Amino acid sequence: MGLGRRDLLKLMGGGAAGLFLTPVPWRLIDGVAIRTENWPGVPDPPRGEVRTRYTTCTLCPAACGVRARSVVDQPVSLAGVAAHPTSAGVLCAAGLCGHHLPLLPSRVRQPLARRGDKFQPVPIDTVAAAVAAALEDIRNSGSAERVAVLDARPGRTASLIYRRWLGTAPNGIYLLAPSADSSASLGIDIARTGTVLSFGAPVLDGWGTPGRVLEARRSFRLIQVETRQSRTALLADGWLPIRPGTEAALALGIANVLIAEKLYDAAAARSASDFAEYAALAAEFPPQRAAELTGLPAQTIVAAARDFVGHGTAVAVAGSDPGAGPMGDGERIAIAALNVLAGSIGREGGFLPRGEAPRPPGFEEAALAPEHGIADAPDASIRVLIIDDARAAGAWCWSAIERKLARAHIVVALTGSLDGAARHADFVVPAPAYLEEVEDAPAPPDVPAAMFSLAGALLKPPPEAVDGVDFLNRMAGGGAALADVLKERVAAIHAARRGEVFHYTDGARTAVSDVKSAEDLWKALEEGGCWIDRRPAPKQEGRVTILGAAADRVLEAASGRLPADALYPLALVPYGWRGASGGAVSPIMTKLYQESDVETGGDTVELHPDTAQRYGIADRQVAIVQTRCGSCRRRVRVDDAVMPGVIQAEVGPSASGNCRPEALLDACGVAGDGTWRLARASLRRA
Amino acid sequence: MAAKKPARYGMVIDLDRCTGCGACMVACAIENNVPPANPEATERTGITWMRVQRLGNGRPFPDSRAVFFPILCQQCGHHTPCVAVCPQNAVEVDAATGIVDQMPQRCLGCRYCMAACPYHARYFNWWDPAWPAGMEKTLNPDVAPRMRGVVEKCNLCHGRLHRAQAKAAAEGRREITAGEYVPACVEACPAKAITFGDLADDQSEVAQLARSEGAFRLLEKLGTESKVYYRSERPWVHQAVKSGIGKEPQRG
Repeated sequence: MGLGRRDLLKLMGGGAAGLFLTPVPWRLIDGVAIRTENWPGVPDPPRGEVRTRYTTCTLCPAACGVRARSVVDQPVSLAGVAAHPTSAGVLCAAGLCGHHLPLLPSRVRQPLARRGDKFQPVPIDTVAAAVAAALEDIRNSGSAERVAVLDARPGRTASLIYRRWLGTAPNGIYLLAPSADSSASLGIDIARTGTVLSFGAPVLDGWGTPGRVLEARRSFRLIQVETRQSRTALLADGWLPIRPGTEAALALGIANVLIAEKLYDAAAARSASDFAEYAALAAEFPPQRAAELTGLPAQTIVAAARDFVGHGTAVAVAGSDPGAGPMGDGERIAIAALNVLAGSIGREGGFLPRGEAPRPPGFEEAALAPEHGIADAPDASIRVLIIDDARAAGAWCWSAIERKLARAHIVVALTGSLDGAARHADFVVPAPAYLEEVEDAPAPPDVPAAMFSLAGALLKPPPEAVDGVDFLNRMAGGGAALADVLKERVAAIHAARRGEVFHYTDGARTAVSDVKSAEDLWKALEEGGCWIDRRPAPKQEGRVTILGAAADRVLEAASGRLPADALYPLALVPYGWRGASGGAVSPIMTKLYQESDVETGGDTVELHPDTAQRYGIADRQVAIVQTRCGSCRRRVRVDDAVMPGVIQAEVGPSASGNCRPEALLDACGVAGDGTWRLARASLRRA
Repeated sequence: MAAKKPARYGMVIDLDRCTGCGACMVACAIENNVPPANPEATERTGITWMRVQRLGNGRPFPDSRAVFFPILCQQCGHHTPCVAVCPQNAVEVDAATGIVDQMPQRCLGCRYCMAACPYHARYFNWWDPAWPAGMEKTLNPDVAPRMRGVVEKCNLCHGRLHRAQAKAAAEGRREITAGEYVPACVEACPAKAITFGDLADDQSEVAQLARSEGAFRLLEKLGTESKVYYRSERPWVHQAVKSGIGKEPQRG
């Protein structure tokens, strides 16, 4: 029997079909899958001894306890420290990936000098010499030009050193960063608070110490006053969506109701030296007028006032959005006055005076330059500006700083990565990144008791890294290192023999009086611990002043921040998120703003459908946001949770990576009181 | 002595507490060596084992309200759709824990499981996993990064389960105790919105919460017996979920 061509083809076809009935192809696929598991594109995780170490987060003022899981010496994950007296085991999204920050591509590893639009490496001595020469010139010429330090994280021991240095420098001025809230003089007894009336403060989304606030959340009512439907507004017991810039009008409207219905604390009001003047001002804002200004129904304002004081101790807090920057003085005074009416100052559940960790000798207040806001510095007055913006928690509007610089000036930025204000500097000094230096964290801004934590170094900084104190020492030709001053401060705490130490490792507490020596206290804090003072006793303040000399500013703020503008009919409302609006973030945060819509991202603005339709812009199209001070391109997201006539713009990282927060903030422009949280704007399709 | 009942690990997510901060997403990515987004990645092609969605009530400003809805593998306990369709047996339900496991070394990337998953909780690796230079040394040594071309999803932090089991074994115990094994998202949640534990243990907090008023599961009518429960006291949330999750506030 011969084998024909047809037979051969049948055999081959049958064989091929039969092959699929055998395990061979499946084994082949399986084998290929297993072999390619170790594809060259797949990195190998590190191997080595796994250890747990502890430190304190210094990425924002909350000073949360940190438990770091490390392979050999490299942290591979961070988590909160359970039972921490203030952070209560919580770390925010930015804190969880803080161990990535020293490894960012934008990391500055050597001193840089600006050459046109670019930076070039220079020796650190060149930077120090340039600044020293400028100081010498001011000193010799008797010029009124100033030397300033702009501190992103006030309240640290390094801040005290800056202030002492400025006390001796020619025309030295110490400036608090625009969004800095570490220097607040009052903390909040939030665990006993009955009602929080928040004017734009992101109470549930990165405000104060998040762990402490969220732990107490079930015990207080929250009324959120905010144009934007923020995360806090969504979770609040009540949301009052006011027109942009009308916070002061609402505060005075609420005050009007409280006074008219005699719902205020009469004893507290008697302690105010200018209560009559304040009551007269509030009388100008009856609910109907406040309703016209804020866009809320008058009965809603009346109900909010009654709600505010109807559930135990009530506190009113002003917004400190990390993207929008601080509120103006007018708004802050109008809101703070509600606390006088509610009688919450110095009362349990209200505002309590904050203590401070003992200072080492030589750092008495009289020896230090006083604290100032940027607006306090005269325009065109600063010859030398040193910006310590390493790990700034919020975004800054560069225009607000730039207008303070003299014609010939030197700006030096101490920073871990080339972001934020550092991009505008003449010299960039590579500061140690997060986890690379022993430093201290002062008490969080909302905590009444004095606290002091050491953030132990878990990593070695690059060889060229120079911290701010070291930089000052290089200019002065000597001086104590930061670590030495920190040891002196720990010795001062030990000598005071007050309070107790909380140990991160086991949650134990030791009275300072039981710690044998200052060295033992240092060791306990460096290995992971914080010192916490006794809780201050409630104490009513003596005579207080509500308005002082600021009645005009309050009235101006209450009359509306955004006058009508035919050319720019929309309101531009920037906002941000703590830990991501100020500068570099871990690339893992792309999960939030690129691979999901948890955050809209810094390249996006949000509009109400009616607003988008009016300007002929569809969802996901690119638009130009134009103000009187500038413009920027942003992708549009249409969302019916946005107030009509408002452009909501997130200040933060973006998927495209080419939308810098400052462009948006500069477009907002700086108001006369040094704020930039609102602007009139128009919109057109790109 | 009666044999111990197999565990059914699951969780209850309190939507009234979730602040939508994204800490769970970040903690999950770090724990499980999920790489940062490729520059070309989008919401559709990115990898987020845990993804927080916003669910709105569908009403316009100022009556609009929303909750944040963390979506992860729902750990189906019955007719697990991804198990049924996988030609490679790359997905299995662990009888001892009830965890639906994905084995990337078996996966051939056909994505049948992604099509079958009613919760859209599975993700395909469109690109090689890449971290910025030098950042590979921050990877978790307990979890192997996955290659391009395979599917991955939440496995309730299997690396943490193995660590807890290894610790128990080293101490001469056969079982791990409650609280010894906690997924990264649960540990990271600042609002304590996620309660995790053994649903088979009637006395556990998670089992009690799962039975409590206001608790529900996604697409319950499919009968997948998922082990991820949600809770909310807001009636509109229940109505929105019944009428179909994913109906977000109008966007374009």
